[in-house]
This record gives sequence, C-alpha cells and structure tokens, in this order.
Amino acid sequence: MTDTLDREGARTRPAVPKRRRPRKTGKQTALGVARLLATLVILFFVLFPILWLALTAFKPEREVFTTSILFRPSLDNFRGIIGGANDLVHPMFNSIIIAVITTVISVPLALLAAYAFSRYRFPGAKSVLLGIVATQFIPGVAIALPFLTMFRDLGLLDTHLALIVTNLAIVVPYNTWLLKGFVDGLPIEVEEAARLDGCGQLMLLWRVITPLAAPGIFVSVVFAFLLSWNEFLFPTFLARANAITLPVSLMTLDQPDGVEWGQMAAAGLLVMVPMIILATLVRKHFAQGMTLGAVK
Amino acid sequence: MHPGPLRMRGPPPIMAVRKSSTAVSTTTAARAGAAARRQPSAWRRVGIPYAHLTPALIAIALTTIYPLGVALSNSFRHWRVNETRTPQEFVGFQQYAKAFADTNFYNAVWVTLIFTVISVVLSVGLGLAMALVLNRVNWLSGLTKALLILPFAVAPALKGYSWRFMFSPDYGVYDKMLKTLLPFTDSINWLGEPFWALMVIVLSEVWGWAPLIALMFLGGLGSISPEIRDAARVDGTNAWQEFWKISFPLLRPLILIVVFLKAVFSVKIFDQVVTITSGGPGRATESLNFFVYSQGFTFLDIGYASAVSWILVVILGALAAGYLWLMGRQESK
Amino acid sequence: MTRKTPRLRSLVPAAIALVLALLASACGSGPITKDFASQVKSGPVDELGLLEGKPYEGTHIRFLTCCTAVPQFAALNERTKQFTERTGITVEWSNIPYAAFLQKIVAESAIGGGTYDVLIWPDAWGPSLKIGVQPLDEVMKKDGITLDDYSGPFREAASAGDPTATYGLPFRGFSYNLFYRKDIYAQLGLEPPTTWDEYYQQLELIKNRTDKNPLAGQFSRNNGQDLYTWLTMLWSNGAELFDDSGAPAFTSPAAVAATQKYLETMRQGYTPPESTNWGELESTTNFLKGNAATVLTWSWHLEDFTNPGKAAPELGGNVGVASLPGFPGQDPASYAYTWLTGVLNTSQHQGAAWEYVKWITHADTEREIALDKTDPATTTGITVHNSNMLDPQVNAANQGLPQIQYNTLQSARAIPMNLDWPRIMDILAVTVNEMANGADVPGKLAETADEIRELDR
Repeated sequence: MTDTLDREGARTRPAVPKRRRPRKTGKQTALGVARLLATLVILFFVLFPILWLALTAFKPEREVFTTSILFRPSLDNFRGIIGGANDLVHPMFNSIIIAVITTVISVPLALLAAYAFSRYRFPGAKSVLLGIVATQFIPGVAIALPFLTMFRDLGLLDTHLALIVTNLAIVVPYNTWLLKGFVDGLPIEVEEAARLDGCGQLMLLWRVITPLAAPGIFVSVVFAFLLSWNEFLFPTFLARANAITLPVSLMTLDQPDGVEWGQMAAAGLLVMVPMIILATLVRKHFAQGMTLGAVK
Repeated sequence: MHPGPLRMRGPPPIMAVRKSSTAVSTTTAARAGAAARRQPSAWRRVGIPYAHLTPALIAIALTTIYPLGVALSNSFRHWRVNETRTPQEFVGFQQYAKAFADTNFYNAVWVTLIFTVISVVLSVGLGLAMALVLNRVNWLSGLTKALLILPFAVAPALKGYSWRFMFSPDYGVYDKMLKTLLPFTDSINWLGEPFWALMVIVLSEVWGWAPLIALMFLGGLGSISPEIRDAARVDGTNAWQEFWKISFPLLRPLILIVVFLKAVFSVKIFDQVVTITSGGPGRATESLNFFVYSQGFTFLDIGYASAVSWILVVILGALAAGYLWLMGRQESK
Repeated sequence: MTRKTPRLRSLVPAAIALVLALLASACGSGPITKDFASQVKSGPVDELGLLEGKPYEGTHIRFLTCCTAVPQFAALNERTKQFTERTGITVEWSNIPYAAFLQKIVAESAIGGGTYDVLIWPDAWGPSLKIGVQPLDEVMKKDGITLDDYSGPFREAASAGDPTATYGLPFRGFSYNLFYRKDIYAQLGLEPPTTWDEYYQQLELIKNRTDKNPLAGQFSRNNGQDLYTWLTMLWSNGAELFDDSGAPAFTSPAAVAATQKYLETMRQGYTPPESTNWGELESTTNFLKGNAATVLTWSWHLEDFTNPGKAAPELGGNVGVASLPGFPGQDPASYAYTWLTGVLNTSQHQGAAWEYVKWITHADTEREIALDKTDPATTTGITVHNSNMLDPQVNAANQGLPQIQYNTLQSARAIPMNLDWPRIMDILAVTVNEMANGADVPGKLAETADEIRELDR
C-alpha cells in the first residue's frame, strides 16, 4: 500500500536535490503530534475490548465477572475448550477450511463481475447489479427451512460443500459491490494503454487490473474470509458433527444455566491468532503484488 | 484528477498530472465511449460483460433462487409449524396486511431505522477518519493498520456478550471507566434505558465495522499515488485541501458503496440484539431481523415471518434502486 | 424512459424462477412419519427396563440435544457407553447451541428426513413440538412404565398440553426456591420467611442494616425469565393467568395485587435498579459474588453456590435454601421447570430410540448419577423421581436439596400448556419488564389482556 508505494516511488523518482524537500513548518509539526495522538486513540479504541477479552480468558471462574486486573491467572478456560464437551479445535479447522475455499473461489468471481459492472455499459446492468445484492436482503430465518430442504434432498447435509456453497451465495454479492467500488477508482488510462499494446482481456485482468486493485483485493479477501468465518445461521441448520463450524460451537458456551464467559473469551483469543497470521501474510503478499505492477 | 499514468511506460509523471478542479474521475460515458469504440458489434457488447458475470451469477443463483422462491410462496400461505408440517392454504396478501396492522412491526421498523442511520454514520465517519489518520508510513501506523481486522474477526455474538458484560453496572469495565471519568453518567442504567441500550448495540457494531471500513478506505487511498500528494505539497496545499481535492473525490465511489453495504448489514442486525438486550427494555431494541426471527422460530408462524421478510426485501430493494440511481448520477457529473 | 425496458426484460428470468419455485413448493410433501408400535419390539427386560438379548444390536441412533457441558448431560453422555454395552445400540450426541435449539428442533421436525431419533425439550416448547414427537402411551403400557413416580408439575409437562397423551418422559426438572445467606440472616436474627410480607420486612431490614443487595432480582424479558417469580406470586394469591375458557384472567383484583407486590421489590429498592435487565445469569452471579443476601432461582443452583471454584469465599457454608413464601390464608404455589425426552416420529429407529429414552429416565440411572461425585464435570444432584428425591442416601450426598425440592414440588405447577404459550409468554415477559421499568401496573395488565385476546389463536 502506501508504504510500499512510497518506497517504490522514492526509488523511481528522479534524483531530487535536498533543498526541494519542503521544510517542516510549525503547523506541520503540530499536525504530526495531533496525528500521533489520534493514532493512539484509535489503537485504544480498537484494542481495548480485545485486551479485556484476553484478560478475561485467563481469569479463574470466580473472577470472570469482575473488573479485577490483578488475579492469579489460570489456564482452565483454555483447557475447557480443547477436547471434551466444548471442544473448539475441530470446529475451528472446519471454519478455516470452509472460509479459505470460499475466499479463494469468491474473490476472482467477484472481481470479474465487478470489472464488468464498472467498465462496461450493457443492457440489464443496473438490474443485475441490484438483483445480485438483493438476494442478501432477506433475513436468514425465512430461507433457512428451504435451504435445509434443498440440501437434504441433495444428500449434502453435514458436508463442507454445503457450507461453502451457502457462503458463496452470501459473499459473492457483497464482494462484487465492494470490488466495483475499488475498480471504479482505478485509472482507465492504464487499461487503454495496455489494450493499445495488444493486451488480451484475460491478460489485462491478470497483469494490469489485479496489481492495480491489489489493496482493494486484499480488503475483499479479508472481508470474504471474515463473512464466511462468522456465519452462524446456516451451519446451525446444515451441519451436525462433521462440518460444524466455530461460531456454532462458540454459541454452545451459552448454556441455559449461564454463559461460560471465561471459555468464550479464551475461544475468542484463540481465534485471533490465525487472524493475525492471515492478515500479515496476505498484506505482505499483496504489497509485493503492487510493486510488480508498478514496475511495469 | 487522475493519479496519472505513473505505472506505465509513457510521458514522465509531472507532465501528465492534470490539475483539473472540476471532473474528478473518468465519466462512465467516457469509459463507455472508449469501450464502444473497441466493441462495435452488439453481440460483443452484451456477450463480453455477461461472460464476466456468468461465474458469479451461477454461484449466487444456484443457491438463492429456490429458497427465495419458497420464502415468497410461504408468505402467501398460512403455515404455523406447531400446527402442521407443511404450508397450508393460500391466503393471498393476508399475512402482509397483518404486518401493516401490527404495532410491533412498526416498532421494529422504527428501531431498525434509527439503528441503521446512527451506525452507518458512525461507522463510515469513524472509518474514514481512521483511514486518513493512519495513511502514513511509520511503525505505529503500520502496527495499528495490522490490528484493524481484529474487531471484525470477533464473532458477532461474542462482540455482543463482550460489550454487554463491559457495560454491566455490576462488573463492567466500561461502566466503571465512564462513571469515574464522567460523573454525570453515574445514574445511567445502560441496558435498562431504551436509548442507551440501543447505543450499546450501536457501539458494539461500530467497534466491529469502523476498523474494517478504515481498511477499505486505506485500500482506496492506496491507489492514489504519492507523486500527486508530493506535488500538491510542493505547491503548498495543506492537509485539508489535500483531503478535499484529492483523496475525497477519488474515494467517493468507494464511500458510496461502503455506506450502502454497511446499511444493508445494519438493517439485518440480529446477533447483538439477542446477546445484549434480547430486544429489551420492553421492545426498545427489537430490530426487524429479530422481529422476523421471533415470529418464525419462537412463535413458529413461518407464513407471517416470510411475509415480513419479503416486506423487508422490498424496502431494501427500493433503497438500493434509489442508491444505484444516485450513483449513476454521481458518475455522470 | 429507455432505462425501464432493460429492467423489465431482465426481470423475466427472475419471474420464471419464482414461478417454478412456487410450483415446486406447492407439490412439496411433509416428512413421512412412521408407526411407533410396530417398530417397538417386546420381550423380557432387565433391571433397567431394557430388552434383553440385544434385539437392536448394531443400530446407530442420533440424539438431538443441547448443552452437553451441563453436568447432568455430561454425566448421561459418559454413561451412555454402559447403555451401549447392554443393548448394542450406539448413540451419537449432538451439541446444538441452546440459543438455536428450538429452531433446530422445529426444522428437524418439520423438514425431518429421519436425521435424529431421540430428542429433549424444555416443557414450554412441548405443545409446539408435539406434532413431531411420538405419543408414548402405548409403548409405556407395553413396558409397564407409568408416571406415578413423578410429582404433579412434571406429569403435567409430560402431556405437552394434551391431557389424553404422554409425549415425553421427564428427566430433568427443578423447583423454584429461595436462597439466602445464613450468616446475614443469623446476624439479623431472621428465619426463612413463610409469607411475602414477612419476606419484604426482612428485605427492608437487610437494606437498612447491611450494604448488600437484599434481593438479586430478575426482570429480563429474555425467554420469559421475569415470569417465574411473578407467576409464583400470582398463583399463590389465588389468581390465574387464564380462566377456564382460556380468556386472560390476570386483570382480576387478586392478580393486580400480586403483581403490585411483585414489583414492590423494585419500587422499594430491595433489588438494584439495573436488575430490570438481569436474567438468571446476572442475578445468580450477583449472589455468587456475595453482593446479594437473597435470590430466587432454580433449586439446582445450590450446586454452584456451594462450589468454592465459582462462589466467593464468604458464601462457604453460608447458603441456605427454603421454599418460597406464600400469602397468608392461601395455598402456596410455585413454578416447576421440566425437561423431557421423547422419540421423533420421523425417526427410522424408533424401537432403539425408545430403549434409550427408557434408560435415560430410569430411576436407577438417575440415582447413580446423583450419587457419583468423583468428577466435578459430571457432578449433579438433579432428581425428578419421587423415589430418589425421598431417598436418604441421595439427600446425604446432595445437601438435603432433593427433599426440599420434593416439598416445594407438592404445591408447584407447570406453565400453561397451550399452543400459543410462546407468543403469550413473550407478550407477558415484555409487560413485566415494562412494569419493572416503571409502567403503571393495572393499566399495563389491562392493555396486555387486550393484546392477548386479539391474537388470532
């Protein structure tokens, strides 16, 4: 993103004599300080609930519903969710597999569609665009029973495939709209020039659009993954034991006799780890992708 | 104003920068014109875009046409799952009429409307602000950017419980902090007052989405080359002008889409209503989705739930159509 | 305008799809139910009532259940291998989140397909679910099983609103009780109250003399959690929810008086203001942390209150349990909650399913579990059989709670078992919540009665 571009830009910029660099005025320093403060506030806003969750995860049962910061940490909550009645490891693997496959399939499909909506004018464009996202307007409750019937008749109950298919139906519409927003903001000259150079359509999409839209694609990958990750309604209906996903298992911690909040917090924490890994990996990869595009 | 042909072989950067103060993005017409010049035949004009669309359309249509159709059919029939296992007689628009006569339905519409407006404004506004602040290159911004996906990665139900417990007067950390820092809030029973209960739900939703939206805007900002910004800075534009003349116009299509997407998600708010307030106090936080869920799966009236669902679809459809029209007008400016 | 034409054209395929879907759903048929009696085998039985000779050997059945981490469920789950040894039937447990449990049962019952064989349900859902459950009377007669060993409210729950049939057998149930801090009561020279007035006087004393919440109230509308105490007070004042014709009767003077009494805890500050949205979790947590002197909740919570890992140290040895107070001159009444287990009528293995139901609900299975304190994860004192509740050994192992529960149950009632209870319960729960938040009592009750009358039932 901006950082890589900056670095890249700096490399390709013709040598600039130092005195052309604008000197930092007092106003700009004040702005810098304000920016720093704002960043810290954002950090607090984003992180605090997560830190509190992390804290709760290590609390012994008696302290879970307190505001205490000093306590003797215990691993009971983690032990409770690994293996045994509330095992969350198997569902987590299911969630990862389903989310990854959904993302891998949905993002290219959405990008293709988004490109078409963005760059071409064709009959029915607006209606199809509307229709695509309109499928998501209906509350899950109304379509849960028909979905169950459909998959039961296809013999696909409790399979990963069923959940991937339902996730695709949810993710592709939103991602199409999102990517359209990104592609709309891309400069058309690059494509025109590439076409003038004799670039075929697929080559164009792969070599030109994808690197240009890389930041947008990164976001849509994250979005697709997380939408799929957090999906609760359909896994509840369509899965039994084999394809059960993490959100469903997490909710089993809300029992009629109370919420196992300590264990939920521990589960939430365990989920963070793959998220952070995923985010770092994908970001690095796409930052590189952009650089390749720029060199061209 | 374009980021310019920086990423291609061609004329050097500075010359190609067009500092036009009016049109800020290529118009659809220009694009269409350019495209049209290359695709003279009507077949290719239709066929090529639809070829792009087909994979996505298949993925969506395969799984949504049938359930949507069945839901529509159910809305025209009488079906209480505690009475019969299959839908019963055709009752026409009776269920729809029942919805329009149901005060709880109007309550749900009102609650959802307020919630959506507040949460969209806050999420997108905060997201944009965060993106602008973090659009830097230094380790602190980099760290914060990396952490932005975490809130959205927290399951909605977990978010709900987390915020519910943090606002509990008994053991809530936010409750303690707020009542210490702002003494006038001392008597507020957060989840017991209609306004504050809704605000807690809004806050949990904004906390989850604003960082992701910031990430989306950072992605959009990432397409703006630093050359432009540096050139602008050389010319002495300050940060505000930089935002208004450069970043904002380029982000505008993205902002519109993000607002729309967030609105769709907000209208369907459900998990946090269940985990934080269960629709209470009274019915003050009963969102439409929660209302449909109660009708369908607590009171087991699938016919009525389907009818209300389709009313929601029509409302949202109208909004979306209006939105598309608005976006079309923006593009042709 | 030109824009309209393409829109209309692209609506055609959508319209076709909808028509097709409408037609398809019109021809849809429901799940096929199978005849129960023909699937159930007969023969000599062992001491647990299970068929000898393993006639169902090799059958695999699926158990639709929630909450497998709750100690009683965990204990049943673990002991199922004993069942498998005896009968050759393997049982696969599910673990549906409680929040989604009703919708899952409804879906399985309506769409069916024989995915599950045995299920459980809390009493309130019985009337709504019974179209998917097999009546058990015939097979009960065949196997000599009766409901005699259960107290009144549990028997009522088993019929799921149909007085001519039994749809499930109780396996989990509890009474509503008063828990109090023995140390605070001793300090103030108090004894467990017998009337509500006495109780409120005690609360007043606790409010003035200590810094504890006199009562950890529960006024959340979630799942009707604010109704338990209200119904108790209504019934113990001789009032009813519905009269014999099914019309709302809670606007009677006795009902209004009972409701006013109920809300006095809020109005007089005996319960903290934030308890207007407290559910079972919050109120019991408040008591667990030592912040409240009394709490009204289910009998089994004693297990938590006496668990040093969960309860604050000051609760150690200081938790007393008593029956709920009543009104002077009236019979006491309270609310009992039951979970039942039964056989789905779309199951392909109903004979084997019935064997499992018999095993779960057998008094000996229950007794063994109630006596087994070896593993905290499966330690529970839940008993629903009268014979077990009165058993001295079981009482000794469970702090005398079963006997107290038995006493309370003799004057307890189950909730109204009609088809509309879920909707009515929701309306009532919202009303009580709003009254707790300050709404006027007689006015609100009258409004609610109207609302219920207008429900198309």
